[in-house]
Amino acid sequence: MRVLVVYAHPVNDSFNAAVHRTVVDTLTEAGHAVTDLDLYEAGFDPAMSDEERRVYHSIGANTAAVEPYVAQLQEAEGLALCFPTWWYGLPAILKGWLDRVWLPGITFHLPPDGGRIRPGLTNIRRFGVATTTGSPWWFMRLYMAEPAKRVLLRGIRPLCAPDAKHFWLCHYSMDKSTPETRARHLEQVKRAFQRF
Amino acid sequence: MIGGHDAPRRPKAPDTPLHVLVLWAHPLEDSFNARLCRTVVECLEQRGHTVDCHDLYRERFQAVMTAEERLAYHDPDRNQAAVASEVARLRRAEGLVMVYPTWNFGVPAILKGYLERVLIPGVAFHLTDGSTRAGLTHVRRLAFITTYGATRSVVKGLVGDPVRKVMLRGLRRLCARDADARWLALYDMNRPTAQRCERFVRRVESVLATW
Repeated sequence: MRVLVVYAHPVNDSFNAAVHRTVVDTLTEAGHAVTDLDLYEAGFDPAMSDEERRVYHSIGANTAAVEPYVAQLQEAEGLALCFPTWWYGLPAILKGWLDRVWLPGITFHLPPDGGRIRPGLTNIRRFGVATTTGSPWWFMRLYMAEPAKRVLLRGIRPLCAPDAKHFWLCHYSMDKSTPETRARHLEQVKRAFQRF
Repeated sequence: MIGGHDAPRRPKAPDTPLHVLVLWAHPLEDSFNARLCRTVVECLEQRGHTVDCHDLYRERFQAVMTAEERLAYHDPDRNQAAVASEVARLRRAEGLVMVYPTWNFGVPAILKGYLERVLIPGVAFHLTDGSTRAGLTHVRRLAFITTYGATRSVVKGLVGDPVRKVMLRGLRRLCARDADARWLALYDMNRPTAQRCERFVRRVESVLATW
């Protein structure tokens, strides 16, 4: 399977970098063809420009500034996102990838006569997320209602194939993590992506 | 009919003018969002508040947290170096207003980057022994003015409006204990009508007149 891995963390020796390596290595070992998009390394600019905003709804013209990124999405059969949860959500660089690359006419279609939007990325049949949060699980789940998880699994995943399998792996309480909890999480990530 | 719904809305008793920081995040100066931002600034100034409008796009705010910033993130003595002027503007704020379009069920990346790079330990909150203490206790009023492409039923019912919780829970808990927060949202902007836009502008004006 062709899998697009999208990774967003600025520090090379961070725990998220280790998660990212685990994801890429595990997928490659399992025989998948991995396209590894490291947004920081690519110097991705997350702010949608005025020109992009003007043509946002013009199908065909709206992809000009992000052509290679659009092609990566359209070629993918699986999508894996790897990032730290900052301010309850995706890091700005990854949020910008959604804003600029997940365009109408590509990732979704708006029926001109009204009605629900239709998914555009039905080529994507697997959707995996590996993230970390500083806060404990009960705070994220019970008080904040998991904002990042809702955005990705309820807002974004429905633009993929209707039967796309998905999973969400999160190491909570990173501020209190120990070598043991981190090793256990990497093991969990490995197992999940072996079955990808 | 005293105090009923038909009673004319009386302007709130004049109180001390506040210093308000308006964060605006839209690339186009001729957009509906730009009009909302202008409306906000005019309303606040008419009420006697002083307004600092931080136009993230035109001021070329850098959204991406760098490796240096990330490595210094938890050290309040070092983590503000790259955003000193933004921090100074935020610290003066007694009111905070955000005006932005909701994209992909969240704030635009440029505003997300502001939260990440400016609302940091030592500024927005203090982390001691694993517990969080509010750092924005100088902010007594909050308002969020936003537009959604999706309909209200998709935003609320399907996705659960996550960004609203981020702001009204995640951000508000870092402000003054009794901070007044207003949430003003216009939905279904993938199919906008002039009438609904107009009505929303009136609503923003009327809410800010008593904010």
